[in-house]
Amino acid sequence: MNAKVKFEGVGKSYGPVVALQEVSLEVSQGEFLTLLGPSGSGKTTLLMILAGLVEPSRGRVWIDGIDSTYTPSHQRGVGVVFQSYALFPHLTIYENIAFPLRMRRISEAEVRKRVAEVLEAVRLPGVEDRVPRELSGGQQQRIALARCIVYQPAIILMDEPLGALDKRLREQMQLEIKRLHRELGMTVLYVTHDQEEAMALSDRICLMNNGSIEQFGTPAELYFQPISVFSGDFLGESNLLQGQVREVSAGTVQVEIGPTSRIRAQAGAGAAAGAKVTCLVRPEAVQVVDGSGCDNEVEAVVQDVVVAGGVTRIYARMGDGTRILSVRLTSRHSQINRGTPIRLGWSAGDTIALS
Amino acid sequence: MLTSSSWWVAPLVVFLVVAFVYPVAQLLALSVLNKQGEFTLDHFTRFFATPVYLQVLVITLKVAFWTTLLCVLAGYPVAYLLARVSPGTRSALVLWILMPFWTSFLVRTFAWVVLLGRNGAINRELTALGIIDEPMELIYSFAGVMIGTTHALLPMTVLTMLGAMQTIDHNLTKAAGTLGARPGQAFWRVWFPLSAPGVAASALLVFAVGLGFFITPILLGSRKETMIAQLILFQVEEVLNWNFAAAMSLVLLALTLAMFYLYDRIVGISALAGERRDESGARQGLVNRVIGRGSTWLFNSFGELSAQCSILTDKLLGRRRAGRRWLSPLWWFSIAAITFLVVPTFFLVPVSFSEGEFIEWPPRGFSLRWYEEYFGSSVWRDATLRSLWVAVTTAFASLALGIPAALALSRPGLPARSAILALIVSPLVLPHIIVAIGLFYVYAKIGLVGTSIGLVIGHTAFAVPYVVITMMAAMKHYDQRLDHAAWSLGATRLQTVWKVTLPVLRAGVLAAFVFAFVRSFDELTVALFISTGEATTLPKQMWSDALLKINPTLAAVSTCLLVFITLTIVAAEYLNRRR
Repeated sequence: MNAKVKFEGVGKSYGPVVALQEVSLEVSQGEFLTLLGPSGSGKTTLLMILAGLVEPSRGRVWIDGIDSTYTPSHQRGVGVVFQSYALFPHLTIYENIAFPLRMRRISEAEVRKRVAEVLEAVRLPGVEDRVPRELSGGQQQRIALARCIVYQPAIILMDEPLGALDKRLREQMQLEIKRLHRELGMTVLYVTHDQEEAMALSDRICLMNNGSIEQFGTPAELYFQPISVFSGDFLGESNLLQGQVREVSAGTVQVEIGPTSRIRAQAGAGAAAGAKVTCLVRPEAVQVVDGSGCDNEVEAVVQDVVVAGGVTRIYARMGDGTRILSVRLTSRHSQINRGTPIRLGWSAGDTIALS
Repeated sequence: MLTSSSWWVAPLVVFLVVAFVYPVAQLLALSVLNKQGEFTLDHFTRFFATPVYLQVLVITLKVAFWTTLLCVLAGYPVAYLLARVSPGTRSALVLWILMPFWTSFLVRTFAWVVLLGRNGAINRELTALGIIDEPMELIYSFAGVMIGTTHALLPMTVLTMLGAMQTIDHNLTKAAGTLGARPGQAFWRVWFPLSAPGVAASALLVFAVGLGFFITPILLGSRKETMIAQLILFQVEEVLNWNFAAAMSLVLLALTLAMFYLYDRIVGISALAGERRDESGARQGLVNRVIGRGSTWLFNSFGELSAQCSILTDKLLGRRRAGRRWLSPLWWFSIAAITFLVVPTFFLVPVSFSEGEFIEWPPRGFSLRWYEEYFGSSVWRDATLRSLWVAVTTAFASLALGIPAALALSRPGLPARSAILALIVSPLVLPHIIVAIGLFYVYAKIGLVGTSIGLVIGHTAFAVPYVVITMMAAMKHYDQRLDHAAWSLGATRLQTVWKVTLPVLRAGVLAAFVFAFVRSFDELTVALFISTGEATTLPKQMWSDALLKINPTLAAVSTCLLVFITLTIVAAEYLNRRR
């Protein structure tokens, strides 16, 4: 068995409050796995259980095939990058990074060498003698990362490590983290509520909701094959069209979304004949069309047009009041005005009917 | 720029200058004058050249030092526990720790006599059990003084250390754990160094306050535990040598101020008013220098030692499995400390129902004679009524002066803010006896001695810091945008305060009132000098009685006081909850 980490029916309750239902999950060696979900979904609890900072109420945690459910955190060899960085304010940067090495009784010469190396790796050489509060937020973040990777733990846990940074810095740090993961080959468990960050970084994403796993898969699977409305809505933007299944044939269904309009969609879970379903289609799949030729077409009136830099967002409303959003690349030639009647079309392959 | 609200602090500043700074300055000026009013340094020469006085100075330092050590050693584990439990548990425990603070100082001291005296509970029980043959000298000794002073100052020590520990990020010890530190190492290498400035600060505070003690050593100590404040008292009351008393006051004040100078360098004097200074590099630097490289090495060694111990216990006992939830030693220790703080007060209750002539344990029979004595005596009744009147007046005066000042201090941009704060908290921390004698000296000239109004002025100087601190703490959670909204809706500043700010802060106002009331009701030092003859307050009457003989009437009065103050606090809490 090659699972680096295995959760087996792990749950956590605080009195009557269930923070985490019974979760089972395997993380492969060298994988970058993200726990994604809204706040209160249990993702941080799961991470803290793996770090040994929270004790599970139920279930077992295996690391490298060894039952580690009750191993104290200092014996797990699991590195944690905290959301607040948790740099020791009374120690210099050098001493902060040296801390895990000193705990492992590594010789001073070796400590000096490895601190220098790791500062090089996070691209912050020369800050050894400063104290944490003299560094900017982004720099502190790099030091927290350096302190974690300096002793080369096989598993690194990151709890919203970029939450406190501004957008530009966050994107830059994402690339850094990705590079370090690639170069050092460690297993990373990453917690975030930011779906774009999860998509950008992860090999696999574990989407969590209400203390249990909603969907587990690659970013592409989650984006293109959501198994629930929650999944589809949480990752990226979605148009949601309510309707009833009329015909089922070979993986596709016909859904009646209005008295006269039917659309074709891939059959998702529970999309049997007669079932009430929600059809989910990504805004970038919906385009303004003239004439016919698309699998699905609807009439709508433009409510608002927003040019958001590179993309233009067209907010429209169908005859029965259902809102529908279309996103396309901004072009200087084609202008659309409020109140214009338009036809919107998309293909059946981009549509999923979910009950 | 001076905003109009800056002036709100002016009445309090003027009051404190007149009722606190001026009397103290008048008194201290006497120290360099002889009886004829000419300049001289003879008093200081006499003080420092007389072995007896120097001995008293040494005793004073010794008492303050050991009190500090005991308070910090006993207080640190309690504060550590409080910093780590849930907020709900914490407030429940803090309530118990504050208990002694609410009960009268004299009541607590009498309680120790009941517990530790020759015929006290502990001696009786131990004799009855045959553990000892004859009663031990637990009080009227250095140990007795230590018990009294530690009991008085432990709550303050715990709360100031807790304040400092609450600024420490809990993730830091967790982080140390994930980086490979055993719990002991995480404590000594991370938590303890970070809490060290707070420990140093509260130690200095305890030391400074301990220097000025005199009631405890008089009631619980022997001649060998005479402290400098007692000498000052003696010079004023018996010898009437004001100039020499002033010189000794200056020595005591200089010692106290030296402690506060260090305190200011470590955490900033405004920390006394509950303010957290942003950790500027300079201060952190000082602390690091004070703590020094050597002690860092010491902490790390402690960490190493505890790691070795835990490795050893792991080997001997096998790895501890999680899931077993005993009360940790930390909890047991804290429960013991809280018991030490809370229990003595209640020992007076059974004694007050005794039939016997003396305070003794176990109380003999049951009677209400001591209560009859209390309620039947016009002396006790007048003293009680006077204390009530003075305390209520003091509380209102303190609110009137303190609330506007607290509002002004809570807004940004007040000029000389830290100097004003230092002035306001100084009556709290400077030796009370110096202020009391200063007031006595000034009042004697203008005929305020023995008047209630004189008492109110003195008590207000001591009560107003509590009002300001309480209100500033309440203001911290106050959303100033409410004020801005009220102004934008057409309210004047005064209307805003009256209709918006104070109603929102009513819990704080109520707490401030209770604080001021209890401080005045319990105040003895000023009353000792100002309330003479006819105009006696309850604590003063208890004191005079106690000096003659500690009798069960005092236990009855103390019990009434305990019930009354508890009712006051419960009523305040009820008023606060009702709305």
